[in-house]
Amino acid sequence: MINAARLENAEVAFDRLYTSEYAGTTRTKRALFRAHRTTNWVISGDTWASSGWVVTYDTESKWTVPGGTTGSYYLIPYSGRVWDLYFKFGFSGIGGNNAAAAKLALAADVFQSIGSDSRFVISGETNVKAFRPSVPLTAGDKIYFGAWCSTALTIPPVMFGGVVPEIVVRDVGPA
Amino acid sequence: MTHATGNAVWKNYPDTSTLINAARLNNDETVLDNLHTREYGGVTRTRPALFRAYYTGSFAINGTLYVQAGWTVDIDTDSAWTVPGAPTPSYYTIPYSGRFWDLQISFPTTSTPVDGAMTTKIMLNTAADQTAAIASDSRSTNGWEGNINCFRPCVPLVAGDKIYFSLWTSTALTVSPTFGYWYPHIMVRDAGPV
Repeated sequence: MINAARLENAEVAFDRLYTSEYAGTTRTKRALFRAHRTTNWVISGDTWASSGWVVTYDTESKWTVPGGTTGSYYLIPYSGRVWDLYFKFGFSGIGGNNAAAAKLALAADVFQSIGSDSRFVISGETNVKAFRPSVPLTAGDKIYFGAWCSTALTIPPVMFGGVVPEIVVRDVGPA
Repeated sequence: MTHATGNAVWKNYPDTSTLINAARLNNDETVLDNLHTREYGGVTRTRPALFRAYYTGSFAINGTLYVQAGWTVDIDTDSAWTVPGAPTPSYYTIPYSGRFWDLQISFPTTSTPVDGAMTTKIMLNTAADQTAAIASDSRSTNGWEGNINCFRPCVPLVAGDKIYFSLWTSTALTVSPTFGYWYPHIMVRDAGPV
């Protein structure tokens, strides 16, 4: 017999699917933030992504740009989820025995990093890519993106046709 | 309370505020359709597209080497991997629009050029690693084991886009599986709706 309880079973199953996949019954997709540069980026010492990044997707409007050289950040919009964090930049033209690094951090402070990558530079192209998947974060956490090189340099906006400095933050499911 | 479908909590007869009617049943159908479209790329699909291939033999790299014939495809949900035949580069054709895609190529080698480098690239629509790349990775090398992993997440692509892959090392070397089963491999996967 069709009754309210059985109909509710189906409704609750949908509710749970939406909550699991999209973090809420009124949501229709997961949070995603994606930005890249279209201009040169000068790195000297610890340099935090600040102004000058072009946002192509920000489903929750959580990219905050204080301005100038103050570090910009992505504000985690809701709790109970795990997140992929990705920050990549590349360059060429630097001589040997240098190094470059990228940081994913909870503040504009390398000692509050939760993800890191580093590359030894000999010659030719260098690609630094900090990627950490499935990081459990909570609403209000701020994610900063830092770059460093042992010598000051300019990161070009594009290499090899379409390789760009890029930031991606995405909700990848329930914690 | 309202459910994800838009329906209110169901109540038993004789309450008439939640009568079963076409609109309420259709709400349930629509939410399922939407889930299939968002998760799998269409109402008739049951999984998102995924392609994985690996190379079990050995191959020589001498300058830029585009991925071509000889790769073992272990999953290709949409039969989108095209192999024209060596030396023409193979490619993956994006099967449907409106989605983000994760792209990856990695390869290992047991020995590397001293004071050298190894790189990989992923290209869009043209097998031209210097002008058509949309992802790149590189490693400086010093004679020992080398591993490179080019990964770019959430790339918005459209149906018909062709994805090519290439490998390069600063001096010629032969790539083969390392440490048992660590093969050169490539991966393309649907990462969700744009």
